[in-house]
Amino acid sequence: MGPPLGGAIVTIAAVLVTIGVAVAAARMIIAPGEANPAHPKYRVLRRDR
Amino acid sequence: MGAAGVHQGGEEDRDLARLLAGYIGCATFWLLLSTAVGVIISFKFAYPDLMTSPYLSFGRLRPIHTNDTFYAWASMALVGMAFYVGVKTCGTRLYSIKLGWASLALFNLAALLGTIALDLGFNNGDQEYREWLWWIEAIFMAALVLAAYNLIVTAARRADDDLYLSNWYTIGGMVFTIILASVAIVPWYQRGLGQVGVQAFFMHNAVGMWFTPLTLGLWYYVLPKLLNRPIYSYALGVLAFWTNLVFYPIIGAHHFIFSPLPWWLQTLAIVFSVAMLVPVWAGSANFLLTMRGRWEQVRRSYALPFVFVGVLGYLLGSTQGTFEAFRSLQQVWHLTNFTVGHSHLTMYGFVTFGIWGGIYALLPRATGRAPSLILTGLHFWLATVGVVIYVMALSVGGTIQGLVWISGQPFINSVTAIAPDWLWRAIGGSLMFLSHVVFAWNVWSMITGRAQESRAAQAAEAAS
Repeated sequence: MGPPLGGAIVTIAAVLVTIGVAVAAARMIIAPGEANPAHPKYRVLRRDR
Repeated sequence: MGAAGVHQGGEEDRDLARLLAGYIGCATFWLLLSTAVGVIISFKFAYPDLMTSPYLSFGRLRPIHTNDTFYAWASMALVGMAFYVGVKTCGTRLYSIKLGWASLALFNLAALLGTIALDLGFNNGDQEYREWLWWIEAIFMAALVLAAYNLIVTAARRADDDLYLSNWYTIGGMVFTIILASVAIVPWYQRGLGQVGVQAFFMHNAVGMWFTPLTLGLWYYVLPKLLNRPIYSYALGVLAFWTNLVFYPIIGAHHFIFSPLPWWLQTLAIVFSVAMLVPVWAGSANFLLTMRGRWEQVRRSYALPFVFVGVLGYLLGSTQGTFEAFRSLQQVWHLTNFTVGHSHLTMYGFVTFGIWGGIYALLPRATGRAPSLILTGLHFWLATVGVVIYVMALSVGGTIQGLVWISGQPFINSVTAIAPDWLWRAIGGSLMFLSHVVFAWNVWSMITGRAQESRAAQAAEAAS
């Protein structure tokens, strides 16, 4: 076993970051937006050169 | 169609098609070789007295199977397709076709020398996935540096301001892997506990920061093209890229749970293994939501069924990896054959199926020649059934193996208990190898086969 405080700190910090990006990912899945035809994701559909 | 098996477009298109065909052809050769070796060693578990020559011993053949699968088959195929996708998404030509061929020559040289050296008994010790001698790894790294430079300069000359998402993944993966390969061969940390740390860093990142980003980058191009529909969420793809980059590099230490590595490092590896669920689930959701409502199109496509299985392999294999990291489950599965089943679910069910999807999507488009639909279906089902048998056998057998060890029974009891599963693994592996023979014929057809205008036109239409 290592020092419990160090383990707790890295664990809590990592959990907070994970929750943050998980919430961001959920929002992007629910409402992706990106409706502008000039968005890069539409340009890849053009015929290749 | 041209006599050399390439589409009659501009000279640049023909050069790019030849380069792609070169990479895929060489990769396919190494797939056949490395998996033939894999089948032999799988039967050695069921029949230990099979092929007892030192040159055919398990200790020499196993690293040939893994290294050639990694650094010859998957690496060459993914780099070749990264060039093609980079050129198409950047709306420019490849910076240097000659440099592309030079990279391919170096990749092949490293694989050839690595294979010969391993079979003669010269290796880097029991450092999993980096058994090649350091100077052979340096040749591989030189190939990688040339390929990355070629792709980065190509991207710098792109027609649009934005760099399409695929290139984030492919260039990011190449740059990170150059760092990874450097760390793998620097002499300062090759002994003691430092070596364990380096090994933890290397072995998992070889999968997660090399094959994963290149395969995902390929899909971000192939899926929209095949479905004629944009990726569901571009921003989600960017989020998955950055979270993969931040979370992944540390998690290799979960292979060394209960080892002398610092306890906090092991804990951090477990925590970030859980965090990896974010990019994995987000990425998988992004691909599946892009396919939603188009299942008939998926079913009828040459390439999309492979991509679909690849997405499932990515989702299941990576989620399984998270659970494997927990100390409670490591007590059962550590050092068992369960891990071998997991590695095949990811490197085969995810990466190899993903590569096949890319090849069936891009190669007909580049050369103007499509494979037989029946043979492509045969390839798909042999590989799918084979890998399901393989992974199921080792998942069940590995769990039984671990439980027997925990119960304190004599070691031979675990061998007896898993023996039937080893035979099933060899049967599944044989089906997988048969699928590779069919695939090799399909690649041959797509590169040098007779021109079949209608099918080629359909394939090009589907991919445009």
